[in-house]
Amino acid sequence: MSIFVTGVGVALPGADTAAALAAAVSPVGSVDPAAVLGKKGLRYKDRATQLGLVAGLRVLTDAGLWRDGVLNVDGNRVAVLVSSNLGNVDTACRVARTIADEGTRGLSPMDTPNASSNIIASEVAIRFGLHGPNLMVCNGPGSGLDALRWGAALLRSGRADQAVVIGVEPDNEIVRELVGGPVADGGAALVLERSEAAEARGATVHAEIGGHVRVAGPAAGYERLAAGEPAPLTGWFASGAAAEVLPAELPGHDLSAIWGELSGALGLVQAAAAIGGFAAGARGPVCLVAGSDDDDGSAALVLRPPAPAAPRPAAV
Amino acid sequence: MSDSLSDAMRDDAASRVVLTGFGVFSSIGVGADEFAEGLRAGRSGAKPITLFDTEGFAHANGCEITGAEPERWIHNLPVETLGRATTFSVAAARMAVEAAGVDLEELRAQRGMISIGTTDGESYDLDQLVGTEVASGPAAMDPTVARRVSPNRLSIAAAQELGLSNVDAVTIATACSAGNYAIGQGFDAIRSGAVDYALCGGADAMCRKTFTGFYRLGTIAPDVCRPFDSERKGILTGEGAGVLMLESLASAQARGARIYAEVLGYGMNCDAYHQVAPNQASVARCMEIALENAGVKESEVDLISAHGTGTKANDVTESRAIHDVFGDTPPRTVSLKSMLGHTMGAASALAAIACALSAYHGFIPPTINHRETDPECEIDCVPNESVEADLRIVQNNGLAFGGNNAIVILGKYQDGER
Repeated sequence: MSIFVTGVGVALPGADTAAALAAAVSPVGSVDPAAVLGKKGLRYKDRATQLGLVAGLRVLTDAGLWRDGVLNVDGNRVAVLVSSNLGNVDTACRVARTIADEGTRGLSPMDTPNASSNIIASEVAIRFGLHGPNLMVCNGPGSGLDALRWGAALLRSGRADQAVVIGVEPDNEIVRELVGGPVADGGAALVLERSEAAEARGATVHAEIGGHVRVAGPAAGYERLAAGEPAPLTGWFASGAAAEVLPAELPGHDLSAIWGELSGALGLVQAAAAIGGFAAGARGPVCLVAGSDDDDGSAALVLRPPAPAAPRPAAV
Repeated sequence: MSDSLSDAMRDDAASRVVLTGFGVFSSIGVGADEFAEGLRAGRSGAKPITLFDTEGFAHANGCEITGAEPERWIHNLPVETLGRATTFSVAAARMAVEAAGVDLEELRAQRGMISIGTTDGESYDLDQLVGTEVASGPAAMDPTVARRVSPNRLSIAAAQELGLSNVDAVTIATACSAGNYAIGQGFDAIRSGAVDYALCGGADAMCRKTFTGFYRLGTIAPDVCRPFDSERKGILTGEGAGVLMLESLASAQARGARIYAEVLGYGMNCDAYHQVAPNQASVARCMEIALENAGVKESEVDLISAHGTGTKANDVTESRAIHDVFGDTPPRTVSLKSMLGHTMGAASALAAIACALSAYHGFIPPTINHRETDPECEIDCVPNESVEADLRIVQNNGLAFGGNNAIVILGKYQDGER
């Protein structure tokens, strides 16, 4: 059983497709959720949730699962996995500040669910009617790749037919203080699907999930995956200190250098950029790596380009 | 090579998953034995909150952990680098390993998973940091405290403390059902052969933010939590950690381990309906998914550990969903939150441990503080006094804000038979 990527969605400042992401050299402007989703229902949702909904709409549309406001597969069998480390920390801090400043009466009951860290995943489920397994992964730098790895595991164990995997991070004063610099105000998303299910509904295949691993450091993860991959790796995506320990002779892509801190969105943005590269003609598997030796752990995942279309037999 | 799940799930001793050790920090007992005693005695963890300033609240009881000394189980990491929730989770992880009687060196040679669920992570620390910021400005914030607030510390720090480097360490943030999610993740990983063992559970620390949020929703009970009672007034917030050692039956048999219970399967789904209101049809569907995954018929379930928060909305919706699945005579259905309060991310992990201990020791823990069952709930909640019972199949419900439902089915382990 293979796991295919059958949808890709991008919500980054100035990049709203995988092709634009692969070609981007710097952020332009900002993502405007109201322009994409309409204003209705956004009022009490924090920035991270709004960004997640934008990425969710785009990935479901790209995968052909969402047309004209309707989900066209069984929502009970669609899983949602969202990776975000900074997610709603602004809400959590604002709530704590409100209590300190104004006392408990200053707090709106609307803030209670927003202060719970699974808010993004559950709002995506509510908006698009996705009743399958639903979870948030807040797992440090490797979080986005972890969400992809877990999405693949849910498909392989038969617990869902499609997995919508989203990684987003908001930019605001509070997260800047926490990470010490600007944060990419956006993210990306993929739809994963078992090969049989993808083929049965005639889905477009953007990529295939190869080997994946979580280990103590990036070099070890890369080496394990390179050794297990049938074809030679042709490039890698990694940021900061992780990039420094990966093979210099192969093309490397540091997306945080372009977008700012990607944190929980990193793995998904890497995957979407790699898919943009595949669509532009890149051939051969690439390795996505998140988390350096300075971090608590490191995750790595191989993404393979889609197999070239088999020649169709002539009609008889 | 890859750590992917295998395509076929094998149904033999290598793929059957059992529970062989527990780490427990709760307001009614530390460690599996004391916890079991507390459950059997119907002990209450409710008392006035001392952990944070409760001035301005008309009532402020909670199920706080006092005098547990989790640092006694932390040998390698400086305790001041761990937040309150991480302290509980790390100590519970070591306790689970020790209770399982497994040699740490052997564990280090194997491939493992550490999966810890949470609702609030280190929000207690965030409360303190923001309090400092408001009072004295950001420069006054303690960098040691700031460094420990990331929720992935809950699982990673356990790996560091135990020296387990060949592990998949993840923190799951599906709020109040996160413990069951973690158990499910470990279950799938062991069944597929991706890992040899899994330390799974949940941890949370009480914090003013969450207490206030529930208070403002009008769901904090004035005195005690009375699930399924006509006069129930809501939850009490609680705290703690529960960590379970999961391994294959083959592994447990090979080392002659004590087996508390078998994990038969689990189910998870999402209401996709409302942030805080549970959905009856979806909760019922989650039970059906779990039972089907476990290969268990409704009539075979001997006990349900309900999510049972003690709020108006949850208890009616959950018990109706139970009736939808189990018919007019559902199994006895208890709420441990009557004793433990709502321990948030730890809740379904502590409840899973309680279910396993109940099956192992042969008793049903009571729903305490009970006076009169709400006629709208229509279940036998085993009021106030535990009862002796031979439990073969136990169902552990975990529901959460956002409609994140996860339900684990455990079976009593008897000489190789289910």
